[in-house]
Amino acid sequence: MQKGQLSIDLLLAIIAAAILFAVLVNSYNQNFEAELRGQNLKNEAKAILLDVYATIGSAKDYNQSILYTTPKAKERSEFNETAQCTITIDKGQGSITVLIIGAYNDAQWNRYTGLNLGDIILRDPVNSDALMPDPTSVGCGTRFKVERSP
Amino acid sequence: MMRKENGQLYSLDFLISVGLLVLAIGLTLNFYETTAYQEKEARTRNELNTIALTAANILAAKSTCPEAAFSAQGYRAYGCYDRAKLSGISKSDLLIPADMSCLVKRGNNIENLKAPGCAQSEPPPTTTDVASVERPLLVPATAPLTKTTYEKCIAQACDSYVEETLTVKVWR
Repeated sequence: MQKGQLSIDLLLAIIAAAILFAVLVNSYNQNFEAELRGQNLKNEAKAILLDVYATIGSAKDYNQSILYTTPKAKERSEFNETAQCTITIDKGQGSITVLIIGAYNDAQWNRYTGLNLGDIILRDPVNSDALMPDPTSVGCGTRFKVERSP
Repeated sequence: MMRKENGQLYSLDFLISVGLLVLAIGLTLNFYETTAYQEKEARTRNELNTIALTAANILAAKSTCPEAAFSAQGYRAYGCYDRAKLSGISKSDLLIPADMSCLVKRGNNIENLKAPGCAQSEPPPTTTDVASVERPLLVPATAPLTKTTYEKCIAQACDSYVEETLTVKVWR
């Protein structure tokens, strides 16, 4: 061998190390990606929950009738589908729950409990402002009226 | 006979570049971790602020000044302390979720306004995120506050009422 010449042994060792490193990174990324997806879904559920809560709070504070459209879940670009998302307002239990099912069928939910929603009225504007049942479950992106009972 | 020479195994350039690469990866990961932490903190603060603001607004909506006196001129005033209206408002009435803690006080004295379900002391010193909303409140000295008295007191100091602060704190 001459000075500056790479030996074949070293080349093989580098290739083997590169392959091993690629396998390790790939397995790490798969778990990392799943965790990241779950966390993104949870954050989205929390954001929608906070928006619904704030609207109900505004109706209660200012005694206004609010025509409200709930936020939609973000679309899943991999399958070009919108994630399934449900908002449940239970006046009897005093809870607001948001459930999102992602493109990989991983579900995340967020809930506020212990709220006094007894004086909140929900109406369906499509159905001549008819009272909505209790508990009420609607999909994200649905429009309804929120008001406080007199 | 040729002299056998050993091949070069590594170079100084290679060592330096590996060191720089590791440093760059470390800085990137640190930046990502810091950004992710800041985003999480911002979300938590936003949530607490929204809940505290909602609770404070509900209290303010119940703190109406005597209607007969103020509505004579055609408007409704808020921000008058009325023990009968504000006492007994619970944590659930303030739309504060069960998994959060709260404190409602008038002035600096927690004893003045106890909300059932809320804490009776300040949040622990170890609590990192606490949302606090303050609202001015007029506490009549003796008789219920009237509009005439209020307008007179704006012009000059009087002892018909005391201005205090209504504080709502929410933490998890």
